[in-house]
Amino acid sequence: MSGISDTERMITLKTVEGTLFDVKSSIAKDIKTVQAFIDDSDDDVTSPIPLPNVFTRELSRILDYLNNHHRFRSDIEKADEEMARYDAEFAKSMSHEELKALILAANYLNVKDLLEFLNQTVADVIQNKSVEFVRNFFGIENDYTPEEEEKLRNENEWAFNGVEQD
Amino acid sequence: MDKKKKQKHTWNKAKQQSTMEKKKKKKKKQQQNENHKSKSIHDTLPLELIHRILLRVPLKHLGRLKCVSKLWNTLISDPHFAESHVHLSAAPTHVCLFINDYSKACSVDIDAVFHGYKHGTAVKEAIRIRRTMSYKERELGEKDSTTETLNYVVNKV
Repeated sequence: MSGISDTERMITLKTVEGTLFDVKSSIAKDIKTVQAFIDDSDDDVTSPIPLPNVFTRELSRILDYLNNHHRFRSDIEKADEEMARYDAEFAKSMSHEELKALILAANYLNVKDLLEFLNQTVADVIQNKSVEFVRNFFGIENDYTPEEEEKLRNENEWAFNGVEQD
Repeated sequence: MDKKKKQKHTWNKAKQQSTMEKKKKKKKKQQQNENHKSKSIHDTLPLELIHRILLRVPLKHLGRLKCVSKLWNTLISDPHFAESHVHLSAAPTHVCLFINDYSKACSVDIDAVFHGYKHGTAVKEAIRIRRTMSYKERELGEKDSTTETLNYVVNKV
């Protein structure tokens, strides 16, 4: 385990808007895209690492998530419980648009745990919702003819029980 | 008279200003719309991510999601998707669990017998049983055909 010391090396990240974030190298390890950049560059990375696809709002959220998870992990006894509570709050605090934007950022930055958690969050959101809701959520156009859709709906009738109101 | 003229003049000026503001606002709104437009294109998740999300949707809801679009139907109906889904999904369907005594447990997914598609759901259940059983097994030091079957299933995964 990498120790968290006061003298830990800091890495600076730069968002699309130009906002700078100082990040502990132990946190940066969880951001695989950043870690790969560090690994590829010779020796010390002193200048800010530009993240051309990541906006300030998303990076700030991602760092929040990682910092908290690191903190939870340092206290093994409470870790699971607190993490679950934090994760639930974290998912609840976002609108659907924000959730999608965060998935894109987590995907680009390759933050595996977070991406998996967010994917699960979306799966939980859509699983009991109507077809129309899901189309709307993902911005998908219906490309079935009414007849085709009718047929498919009939074939999968069993899957339409217990759909929540949008 | 002069006063009236002045008033009229200021009123005109005010009107002019308000139309200018309106124009500005219109321009701003247009910009916002453009921003919004580019953002919504950006926010459409790539297929790879949609694929990964759908892998986490329980099997019983996937039939409905086939109706979202032709692409989704193709994606969900793909045998490779089914295979991957089986490894991730946690919601088994039609599973019967038989426990005779501490060392014997048997999980049968009725669908799995007929559809290769759902086979792994049964497998998943078997792992769970095995986990809860394993310490009993050690305690008893027994190994019968049922646990061997479970071993086989677990190893296969």
